[in-house]
Amino acid sequence: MRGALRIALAQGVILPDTLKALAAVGLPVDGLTGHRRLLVRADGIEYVLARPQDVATYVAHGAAELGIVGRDVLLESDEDVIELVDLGYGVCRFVVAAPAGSLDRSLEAYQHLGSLEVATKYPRVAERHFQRRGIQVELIKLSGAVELAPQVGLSDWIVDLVSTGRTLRENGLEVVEEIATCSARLIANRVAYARERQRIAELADRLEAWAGSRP
Amino acid sequence: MRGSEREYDQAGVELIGPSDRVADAEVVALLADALRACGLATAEIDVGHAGVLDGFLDEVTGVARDDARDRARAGDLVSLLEIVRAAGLAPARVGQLRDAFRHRGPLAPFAEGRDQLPPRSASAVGELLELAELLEAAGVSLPVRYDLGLVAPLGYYTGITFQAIAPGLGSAIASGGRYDGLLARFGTDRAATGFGIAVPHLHQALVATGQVAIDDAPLVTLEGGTPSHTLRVAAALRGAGVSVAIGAVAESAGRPVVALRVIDGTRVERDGLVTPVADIAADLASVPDRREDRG
Repeated sequence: MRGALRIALAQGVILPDTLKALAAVGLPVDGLTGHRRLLVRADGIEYVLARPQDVATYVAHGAAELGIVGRDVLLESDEDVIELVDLGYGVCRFVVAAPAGSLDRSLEAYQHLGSLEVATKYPRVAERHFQRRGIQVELIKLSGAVELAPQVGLSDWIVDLVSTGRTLRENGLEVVEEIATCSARLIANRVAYARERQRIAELADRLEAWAGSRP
Repeated sequence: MRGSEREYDQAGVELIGPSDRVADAEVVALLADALRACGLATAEIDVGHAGVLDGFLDEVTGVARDDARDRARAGDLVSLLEIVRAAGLAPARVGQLRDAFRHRGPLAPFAEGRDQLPPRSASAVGELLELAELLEAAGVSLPVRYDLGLVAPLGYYTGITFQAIAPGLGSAIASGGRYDGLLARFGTDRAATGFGIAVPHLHQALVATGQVAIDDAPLVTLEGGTPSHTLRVAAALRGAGVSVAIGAVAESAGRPVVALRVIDGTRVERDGLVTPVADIAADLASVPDRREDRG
């Protein structure tokens, strides 16, 4: 085992808050900004900067002991990791949305057809949700601009990730149901969490205290 | 890092019948001995108990209990605590559960305060203490760590659970535990405990320690004889357990090569000396296979 703990950090919108969190609990983060290196060593810690989806993969396979990534990514990736701390930032929600005022009509259509068409970038989250609800759906996988799908007649509903809900409103959609609230998580590899329990639990405690102290 | 195949070979042991701690100690010690005998000295055995979580969930009702157990199995400790808190588990209990799940190491801190734990959790810690005493007395060939946060992804465990972990591997090499309720579902109510070793993970852990499979048995090549003589000599040598290739070999896979020239169906020339095939067979078949001596 490497002496250093390797932490995979999700690049993108949550990274600035992640750096704030790490700095607040006393971890060195200076080397992480202002250049394009993806592997940064600092004082007993090694950081890997990765795409969010890959953070979960790195940690599940043990290529990094720890990771910081949004729960939205974890729910869709289904990787086997330990979720240790809710860091509280990067809040967003998985929702089911439909064109405003169309709910009754689409439920009638469901009774008639026995199935609804749902467009989404997150097929795993959507499938699990409707399975739990016992609603038969036909999932349509899209890569972006999902809120367009009902307007162009591609689907009845969508499952999407929203933060303020503005994009939904601007596209004439309203939330039918909330699936899950997500925020950034500290995650650990299962074996690393056992082998390095003391170091990891101690870091988790500090991050939890930091998250709990924020307004 | 390796250790995440979708399907793999398993080698395991089930001890069916006894339900006491002696049986638990036996299988844990056997797992350690088995890994040790394979040459893996870097592994640790992580021991927990399914009852630790069950005790807390006894104080939670309804669907929250199943949800909480699901989340624990999935490794989602954040949601586990959220769910039991929302389901009305007393704040002091939530704190205890959180601390238990962060604890790995000697049992002493939890053993002292175990009267304060929910009844089933307390008796789980009691069983772990008994086990620890037995393992200490028996002497286990790998380090044992007590991990109150160890939750097996599989749901049928009812008592002591354990896994073997090693550096360089992101998944457990072996896992197991007591599953007293499982056999009853298949018609025979018997207590049982056991483990499965993920054989490819064991190999990966061995490779990570720098160890590779050693095969010293020589590879014999036959040249120069008539086809029928060559085939007879090859058959005689192979019958004695010697590996034989007819003609030159492109890749000996690290094994020593012994080149023989076929004279006739019963004699070969080795290093300029004509020798009966039977003598060569006796000589080469007696080269010890070092794999037997490991451990």
